[in-house]
Amino acid sequence: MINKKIKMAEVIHLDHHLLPVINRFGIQLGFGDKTVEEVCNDHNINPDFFTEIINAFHNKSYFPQKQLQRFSVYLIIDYLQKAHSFYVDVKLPEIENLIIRMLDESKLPKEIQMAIIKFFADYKKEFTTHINQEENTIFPFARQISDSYYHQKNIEDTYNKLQDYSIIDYRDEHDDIEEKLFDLKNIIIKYLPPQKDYNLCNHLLSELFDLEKDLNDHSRIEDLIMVPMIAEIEKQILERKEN
Amino acid sequence: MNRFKYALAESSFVIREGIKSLLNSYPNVELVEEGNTCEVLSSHKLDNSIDLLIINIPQLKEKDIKKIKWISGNHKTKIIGLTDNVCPQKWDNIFYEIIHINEADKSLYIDLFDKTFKNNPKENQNTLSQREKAILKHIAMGQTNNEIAENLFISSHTVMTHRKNITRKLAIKTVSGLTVYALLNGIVRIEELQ
Repeated sequence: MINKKIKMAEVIHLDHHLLPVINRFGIQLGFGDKTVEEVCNDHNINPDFFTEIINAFHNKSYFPQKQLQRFSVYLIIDYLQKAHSFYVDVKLPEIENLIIRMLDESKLPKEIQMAIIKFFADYKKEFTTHINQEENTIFPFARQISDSYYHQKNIEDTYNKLQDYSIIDYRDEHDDIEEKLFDLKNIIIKYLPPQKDYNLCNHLLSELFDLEKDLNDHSRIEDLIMVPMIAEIEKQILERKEN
Repeated sequence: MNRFKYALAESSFVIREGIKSLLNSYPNVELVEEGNTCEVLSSHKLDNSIDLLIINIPQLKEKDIKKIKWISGNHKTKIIGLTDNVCPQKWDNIFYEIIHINEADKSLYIDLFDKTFKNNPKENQNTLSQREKAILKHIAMGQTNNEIAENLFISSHTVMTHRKNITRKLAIKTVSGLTVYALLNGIVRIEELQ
């Protein structure tokens, strides 16, 4: 388990796939021999929260449930929003460019190239819709009930809202946007005819694998950290009202 | 070596022979009882656990269902239903798979038995059958399961079974992914798409 006393450099040596994750916190390479705790303090990041997220990404079976209550919901929501913006503004365009480059250099008929480009464009649209739904509905909901719980704002309104909706509804409806990604991987691995620039294909495939893993971990954080935290706050708000 | 034991409850002699001949190509598969539903379900040979029961659905009575549920519950026996028309919805969850015998082609049986015995499919079983390619073409053209069923004169249940098999063989699930595959392999031409 990664703890805040070890050097940040060691974390990267241990698992370099964590680099995009630490980037989301605004941390970049070049932190010298500083410990995780020191780097976090330099960037105004809660080091315990940071290590929870890193451990969740690093180790699939990591269940940080006991530590959950220590962190504010605002921290989680901020992190998730930064992750969303990384996917939409950085990763998806990068992958789309790789696909277009690969198709340009291939000898595939124009129509098939268009079908593949359309496939990815549809995926991007689906992805963006999913994210917008979270940012326009769930995150404001989470912020509102946190405001009521921590700062006693809008309690009546929150209480009424909770009669109709709960974070559990979101969890049950939370659908899987990774299917198309999985299909694309298989098409490239198995069915696309061999391309002259196979290094480009390998690079594209590697990006797809990484994105898929990142998205899986992202969903786990939403389901295992965000949802229980908010559910607990909901419960406490409702209990308070009853007393 | 594990022997797979199966029983065949189907009153039609010809259908029984057909199923037996398909199953004969699997090693270590042994028939323990055959006959009509009544004979098979009351046979004491079913008291020892069997791995597979293949049974005719239209001939089933309510009292038979109890016995079948007991068999599948106790012994983790797989139950495959054979029918020549619709299957009553309420019995859906008893069956591992349901085959519409008037429509099912050879590849459907092979895929099903491969799955049942967790056989390593023979090399040519990983490629799509003619039927599956036809269904794939219709999927790529944007048709729903019901539309495909109408166009090919089969039930939508059979269409769904074919789709499951296609997804399993190709490891592609979404319609757009299947469309790309179909285009790459000449199963459909771009002009035929909407």
